[in-house]
Amino acid sequence: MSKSFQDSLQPQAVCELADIMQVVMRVGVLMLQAGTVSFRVEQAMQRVALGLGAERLDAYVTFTGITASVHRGNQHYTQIARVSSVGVDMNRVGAVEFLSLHLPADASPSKLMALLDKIEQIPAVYPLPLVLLAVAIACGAFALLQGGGLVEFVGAAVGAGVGQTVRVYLRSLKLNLVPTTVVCAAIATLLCYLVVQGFAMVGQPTTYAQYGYVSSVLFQVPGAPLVTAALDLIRFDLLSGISRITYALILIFSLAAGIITAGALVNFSIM
Amino acid sequence: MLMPPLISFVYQAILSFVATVGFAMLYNVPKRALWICGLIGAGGHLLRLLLQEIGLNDSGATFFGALFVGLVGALPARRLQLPMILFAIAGILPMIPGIPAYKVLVYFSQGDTLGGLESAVKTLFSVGAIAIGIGTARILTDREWWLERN
Repeated sequence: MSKSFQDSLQPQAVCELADIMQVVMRVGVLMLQAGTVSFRVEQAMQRVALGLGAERLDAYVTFTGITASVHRGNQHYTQIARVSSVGVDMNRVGAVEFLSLHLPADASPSKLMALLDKIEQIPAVYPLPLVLLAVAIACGAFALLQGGGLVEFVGAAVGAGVGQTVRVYLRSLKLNLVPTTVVCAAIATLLCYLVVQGFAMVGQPTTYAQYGYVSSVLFQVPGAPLVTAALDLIRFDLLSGISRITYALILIFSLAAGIITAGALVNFSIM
Repeated sequence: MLMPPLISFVYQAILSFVATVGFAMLYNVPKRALWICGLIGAGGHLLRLLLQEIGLNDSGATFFGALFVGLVGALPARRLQLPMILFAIAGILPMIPGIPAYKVLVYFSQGDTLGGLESAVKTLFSVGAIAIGIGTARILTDREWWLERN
């Protein structure tokens, strides 16, 4: 819409509703991308819209996009935002939700935009090498939990550590999530297999190698989308919940494809 | 592995704590919530083990484990003003049915359709029990889930 046309039609109000919508949408997109429940996204958007002087906000939040209308008097403004690259970033969910609950008294769209810029620039809580190490140890611990021993711990830790490293690299190239998952699952499984073989060569064979293989790919199991899907579904946010389940299933099948690929390379001796 | 029950419980507690904390770090959970996530993850897992020990079936035990994770997670969420979902996502981690899920793949790849289906059903029941446990906890602790809107 050109500026002059907008001005001649509705001097102030439309423009302002549009400004409010920009902030509200950004709040929604940031939260959805950080992997929270759709209703929480809607709630935060609503708080911000009302805090900025709108009378009502209707937000329709799905897993891949947000549609929202903001109302005041007889005026309304609608916008659609597509959301891609959903991940899990609990620090960001917390920061945006906290902002929506504690809006500054003199909140204005431009001021909130600046605050959201700041939230977006917050660096990761833990340095990358530490996260990689944590993922490796966590997957190793999971192998022990399932009933594995030292061999499985080392196999799962090495597989998961390297797998997650490759995954971070491939994500930085913005490679599609399906090939990323397949490749990283195959790498993790193969490395775990090599570790198991290595231990067998030095006289430490194991009969629980399966516990290692399954744990080495655990870092790619879409647990978060499954939990949020359950919470969406019981609130009857059906579209969002079903999309999340579909997303999780696609990733689980990709994982399986990766493990089978690795299996084919070693004559299915891991199966 | 055969271990005396108490040592085995401590062993399981430490491992589930470590696994939960590791994944919480992957999910970029704030530092002040990290150890709480670990405790909740270990608590849910131990409760499940205990219930299995006294004879409850897998799905029932998993349901109560997930219910514990969801209910207990609501407390630090309020106190620390953090999203509840954070504790739920990290806390259910030790209960993920990894082995049954892997067996689906193994059996199907060996042409054992029945075995594959059996493992698939087992996996689904475990995942379902986690989902229902977390869902029940949310309905009990959050009025936005308890009441229908409008």
